[in-house]
Amino acid sequence: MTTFTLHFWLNNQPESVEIPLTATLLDVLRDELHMTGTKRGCGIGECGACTVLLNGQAVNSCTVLALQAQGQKVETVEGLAKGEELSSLQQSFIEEHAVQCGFCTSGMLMSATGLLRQNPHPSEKEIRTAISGNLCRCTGYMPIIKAIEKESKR
Amino acid sequence: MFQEIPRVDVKAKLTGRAKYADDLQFPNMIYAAMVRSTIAHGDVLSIDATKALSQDDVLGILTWKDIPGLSNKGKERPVLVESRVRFIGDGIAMVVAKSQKAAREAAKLVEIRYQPLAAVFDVKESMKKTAGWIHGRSNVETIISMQHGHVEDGFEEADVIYEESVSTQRVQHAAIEPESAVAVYQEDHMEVYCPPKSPFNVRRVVAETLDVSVNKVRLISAVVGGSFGGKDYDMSLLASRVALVAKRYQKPCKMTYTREESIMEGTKRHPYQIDYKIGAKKDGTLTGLSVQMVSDAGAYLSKSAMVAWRSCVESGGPYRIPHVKTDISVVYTNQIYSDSLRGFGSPQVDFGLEVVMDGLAERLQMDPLALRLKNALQDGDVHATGQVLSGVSIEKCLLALKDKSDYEQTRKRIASFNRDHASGPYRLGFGIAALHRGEALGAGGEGIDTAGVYVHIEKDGSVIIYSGLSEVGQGCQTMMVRIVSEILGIHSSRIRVTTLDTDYVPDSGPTVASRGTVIAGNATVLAAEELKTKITEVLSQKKWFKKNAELVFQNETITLRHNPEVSVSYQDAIKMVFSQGENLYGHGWWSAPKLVWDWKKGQGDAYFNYVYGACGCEVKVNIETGKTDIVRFVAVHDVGTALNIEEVYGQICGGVAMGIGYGLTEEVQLREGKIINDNFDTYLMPTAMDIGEIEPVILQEHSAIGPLGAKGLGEPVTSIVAPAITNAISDALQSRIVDLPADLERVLAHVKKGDAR
Ligand code: FES
Ligand code: FES
Repeated sequence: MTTFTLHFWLNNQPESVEIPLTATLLDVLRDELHMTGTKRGCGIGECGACTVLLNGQAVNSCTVLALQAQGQKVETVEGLAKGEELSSLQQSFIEEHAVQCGFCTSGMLMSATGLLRQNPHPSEKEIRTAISGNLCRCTGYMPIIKAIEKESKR
Repeated sequence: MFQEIPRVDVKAKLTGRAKYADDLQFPNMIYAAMVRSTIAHGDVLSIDATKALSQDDVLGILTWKDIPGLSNKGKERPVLVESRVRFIGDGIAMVVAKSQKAAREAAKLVEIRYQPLAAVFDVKESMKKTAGWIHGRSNVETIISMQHGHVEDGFEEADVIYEESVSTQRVQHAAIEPESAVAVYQEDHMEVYCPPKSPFNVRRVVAETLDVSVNKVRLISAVVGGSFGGKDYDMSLLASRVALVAKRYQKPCKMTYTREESIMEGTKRHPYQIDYKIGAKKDGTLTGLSVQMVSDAGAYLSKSAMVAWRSCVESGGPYRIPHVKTDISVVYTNQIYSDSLRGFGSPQVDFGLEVVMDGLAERLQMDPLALRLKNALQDGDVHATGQVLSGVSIEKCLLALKDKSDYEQTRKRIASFNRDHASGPYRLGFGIAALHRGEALGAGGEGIDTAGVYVHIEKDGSVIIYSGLSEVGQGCQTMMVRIVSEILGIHSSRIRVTTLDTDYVPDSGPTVASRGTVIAGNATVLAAEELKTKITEVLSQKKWFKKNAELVFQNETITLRHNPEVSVSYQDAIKMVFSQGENLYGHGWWSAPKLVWDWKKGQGDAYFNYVYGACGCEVKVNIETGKTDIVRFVAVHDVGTALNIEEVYGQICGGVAMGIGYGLTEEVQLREGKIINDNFDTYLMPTAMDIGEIEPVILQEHSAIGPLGAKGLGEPVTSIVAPAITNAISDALQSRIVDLPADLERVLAHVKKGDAR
């Protein structure tokens, strides 16, 4: 098995890890680094549970080769809170009851974070579009949309 | 109004710290992957694992011969088949390796030789089979009936008879978390970590597989990434499989299904074919109803008979019908088995009857809402099961729907839009649907409907709740915190719910039928009341306590009801109890009221209570592409006293979204028994773009039996979404849709039919 050493920034910390050439970014996060906040729901880029930010852009980490992250900045759900203190987006998710089983939550948070960084005051339609690649089977999306809307108005 | 309580598990889920089964790591962990049947019916002749075993990191292969206990029971799904495979996906063997990847790759190299048998995929054909049955000596597992009055008399009294055949499709839970389990071998027992919907069933099946008593298996719940009916018996199988490997290698073993496998083996909703005949007087009064159903159970029994029983009982809808005759046949086919899926037999009959009500309304030239209101059940009415009803709120639901949807104006606006835009590509439509749904397991339930909850007060006044019912994402834990905080009059931050661990809680049955609220809720009430009694007993020895005085537990203070001047803080009261050498250990065990069902007569007291709801949907249909947009969805549900109103909103929205999928896009497609849409690129579920505006309307009619007056939710919501949507599309196209899903092709076909009229 051909391997290589991946150097990248993970939640603002330098990280190096020896991995197979064919590994996806999701494989690296979950299986090598045991950063399990990022979830695997489908493995083919359809559910969004594995969403992370790559240089600030929301991507499905199951369809990104780890190689593409060489020297780049990756942000995951584990990087959102500062210690015990939740980010205000996470707080909005609590206030709007946007979490049920929670399996989609990490991906939703990362898609929303990516959106709000580029477009701090999105319309409802823009919010829906930004999370349209994130499936949620529990909430019917309405509370999630409201939470992101709330955050954009803070 | 209650104070707001955030979900108890929410912070861990928001920070990525919540541990789902696939997130768990143990030292020296090994991995297993399934080898599954590639044919729909036949016998395994040989298993050749030579190639698989020669791969790097592969440790071995296990078949049914490695099972010390039971590999299967009767008509139930096997842990690993002995020889007969009955659907594409049946488990034949497991490859074990040092990594998940190695296990999965090697599993593909195992070669199976089969002796194929004739397979059957169509229910009607399967019913006719005179040999080559899937189980036993008939492919019809059972026929369940309900008979009320004499249906022929009902049709004789009728001025109008309407007949219709409807069908519903096979859909699946599609929880975003794929099934996963870890077994950890311990010297004197097996520890299993998994997301269980029915933890005690999982424990029992693991024990039966390993041939040990149940106390030798300890199940600790991982966080559950959605259930909707899944993670029940399928989880029992997965847990048994990893336990086998863990025992054999004396190492922790994990197995996680790929999405494709989850779809191949995961829980499906029974497809139904239903023939209706309904009679009514000219003024709309219903006189008789006949419902003839066939349910596709797939290859194994699972809960098909229980599901069919519920369909039977609820087949008359929330309407007063003097004469009803219902029969349902449960039939095997060589396809993925059907099981309990959000709604448990309700969505099929709710779809059917609500479509038929609209058809009848059209025939009578009556408004669909008026027809439903005319026949809506009232307190004191006799249900089609013969039971006399109380606490009926269907009329209130329908009237709330009328009001909130601005019913008459909406109909007018839509009619004029369609008139004005007759040459354009869009048609608007509005449709409604209503339901009643039995709470909890009912008389046809497996075993007795009971649950146990323990509540401990610690010396510092903090509280731990141990519950035997799973948190599957529905907020069960939050509800228990609410109840304890209300009864003891303490702040919710004092209370924590432990992870479910079968070593410490009593067997509380499955988390099905939205029974969590009522059954576990009532057990929690009893446990908290016991604590209150214990505290009261100690306080009653105080001088200030007059005989038979009543205490009020509120705001962290305990006060004499008749003399509010006299009070003691909760904290001090707890100290007093412990200083007397007493314990503060509360134990709640709640059994649902006894119910009886006469299987021969098809009558009885089926459920101890029914919940009611009504909904309305506006659609915009593109008649060129067949695409339906949900413009607005109003969902009215009587939830009893809402224990956490924001959570109820979320549950209603989620239920509606799942129903939209059932109505418009979702269908597990099989070709010769093989599922062809086996991932989310081809199995289409609603996204945030597809749900329109969901408007939950919450009615709070106090329940006489629920904890603090609450009623179960979750499933009722999903059940009537699809018929409201198809009724709306039928309204838009002027052609009645009677089959699910109303996907592009089906809608286009009806565009043509509607034009022809
Ligand atoms: S796991 Fe990456 S999109 Fe589903
Ligand atoms: S909260 Fe369960 S999938 Fe979104």
